[in-house]
Amino acid sequence: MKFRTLSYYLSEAFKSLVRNRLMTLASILTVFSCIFILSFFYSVAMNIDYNLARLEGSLSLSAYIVDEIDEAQVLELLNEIDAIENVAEIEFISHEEAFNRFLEMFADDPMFRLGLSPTDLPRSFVITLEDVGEYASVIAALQQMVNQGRGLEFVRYHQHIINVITTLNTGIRIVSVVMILILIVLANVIIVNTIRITINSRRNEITIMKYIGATDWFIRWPFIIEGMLIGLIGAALPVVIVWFGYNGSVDAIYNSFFMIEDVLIFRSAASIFVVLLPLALSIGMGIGVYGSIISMRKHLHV
Amino acid sequence: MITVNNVTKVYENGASGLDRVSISIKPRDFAFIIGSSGSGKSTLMKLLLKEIEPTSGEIIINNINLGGLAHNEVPYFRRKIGVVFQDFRLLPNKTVYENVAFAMQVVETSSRDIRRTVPAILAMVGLQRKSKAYPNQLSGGEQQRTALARAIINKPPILLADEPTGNLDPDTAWEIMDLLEDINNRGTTVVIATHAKDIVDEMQKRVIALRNGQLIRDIEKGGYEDEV
Repeated sequence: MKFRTLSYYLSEAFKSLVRNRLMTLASILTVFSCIFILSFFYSVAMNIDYNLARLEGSLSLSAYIVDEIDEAQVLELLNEIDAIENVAEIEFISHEEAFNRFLEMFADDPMFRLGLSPTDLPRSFVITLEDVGEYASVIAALQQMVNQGRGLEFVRYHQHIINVITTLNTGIRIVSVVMILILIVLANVIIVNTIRITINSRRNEITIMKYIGATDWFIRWPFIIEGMLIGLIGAALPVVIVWFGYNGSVDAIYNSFFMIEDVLIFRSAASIFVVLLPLALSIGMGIGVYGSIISMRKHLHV
Repeated sequence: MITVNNVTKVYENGASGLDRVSISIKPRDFAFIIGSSGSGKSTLMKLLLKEIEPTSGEIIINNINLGGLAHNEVPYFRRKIGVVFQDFRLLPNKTVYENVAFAMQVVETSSRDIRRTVPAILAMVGLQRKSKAYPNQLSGGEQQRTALARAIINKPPILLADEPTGNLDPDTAWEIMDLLEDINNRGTTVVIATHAKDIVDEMQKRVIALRNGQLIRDIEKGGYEDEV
C-alpha cells in the first residue's frame, strides 16, 4: 500500500467520523462504557487476587489447648503436631505469652483487662504450613485430635475469610463479564449502524469509484479504518481515565486509612496497565473492525 | 477491440434486454448506438462495463473475454474503459480538480503524476479556470466536461458515453460532441449511446441501431433514420 493511498484512507475515515458526529459519538461512548467497565473490574480483580495470595501465604492455624493437661502432655502434643505432614513451624503460646499479647493489643483500652489474669487466656499452638493450599489435611488431623480428647480444644483457621473474598471476587467477575458482553453487543450494533450511515452517504461515490476501477479493498479500507478509529478512541479514553483514577484512589486510600498497608497492598498502576492497555486497545479495535465488516457485508456490495 | 458475439440478455423478471446481438467495433472507431427507450442501449452499455452478465453469448474487450473475468479482476478491466453518463455523476463535495484527480487516486497514481496530469487534461476540456469550482457552481456543459476529463485521465483505450448530451442544451451538446470527436482523433475508441437524432445525422459516423433488443442496422456512416 502506498503512503498516499494510506493517507487517503485515513482522511476519508476522519471525514466520515466528523460528518456523522452524532453516531460517531454514540459509538465511541458504547465502546467507552465497555472498556471502562473492563478496566475498572480488571484493576479491582488484579488487586483482590494479589492480596488474596498474600493473605493465604501469611495465614497460620491456631489450635487451642485445654487447661486440664500439664506441660509434659503439651510437649507431647507439640511433637505430634510437628510430625504432621505439611506443618512448617509450630510455636507454643503460654498463658503468660497470650496475656502479654492481649495487653499489647488493647494497650489503649485498660477497661478490657479489668480483673483479667493470665490463666483466663488459653494456651495455644500457632502452626505455619508449608503449602497453604493443602491446609485441609492438617485441619483434619488436628480435628481428629480434638475429637479424641487429646487435649486440644478447637482449631481456628481464617479460611472462611478467604472463601468470602474469593466468592465475592468470582461474583464481581461474572457480573463484569456479563456487562462487558452486553456492552460489546450494543457497541457492535451501534457501530454497524454508524458505518451503514457512512456507506449510504457515500453510495454515489462508491458507484463512481467502481466505474473508475477502484478495487474492492480500496473501497473497503476507509470503512474499516473508521471502525478501527472508533474502537481505538473508545478504548484509549477509559484506560487513561482509569489510570488516573486508579493512582488517585490508591493515594487517597493510603492517606485516609492509617496503617492500611498492613492489610491491603495495592499493585502498582504500571503492573496492571502493562496488560490492561494492550488488552483494552485490542478489544476496542476488534469491536470497531468487526462492526465495520458486518456493516459492509450487509450494506456494501462492491 | 470490442466484440459482442451473439449476446442475449434476459433479466431475472423475464424482461428481454438484448436478443442475439453481434457487433464488432475496431480500434479508433467512433460509433453511435441508437434506439428508443427500452431498445437495449443501456443493457448493452452495462454489459460492456461488466455491470451485468449476458444470459448467453460472449463479449471480448481489449482481448479480454468478460465471461472469464474473476470478480477481483473487474476493477483492472474497468481502468481500461472511460465512462461518462447523462447525469455526470460528479462528487458534489469535491472541486473540479479533485473530481478529476480522484480517478487517478483510485488507481493509486503518485501525487507527482496527478499534479502534472490533471491541469493538462482540464486545459484540454477547457476547464483550467474552473478547477477550484464545485459541481453545483458549474453549468451542465461544464459538469459534463469535468466528467469527460475524469473519464479520460487514465488514458483508457475505450470511452463509453451513455446519453452524454441528454441533459444539455443543443449548443452545449455540440461542444461535448466536438470534445468527444477530439478525444477520438487522439486515438481513443468512442462508443456513444444516444437518441440525439440531429447529432447522429450531422456527424455521419458509424451507427448501430437497436430495437426491442435486436440489432436492426449497423452501417459504417449514416444518420438516425426514422424507423428506429
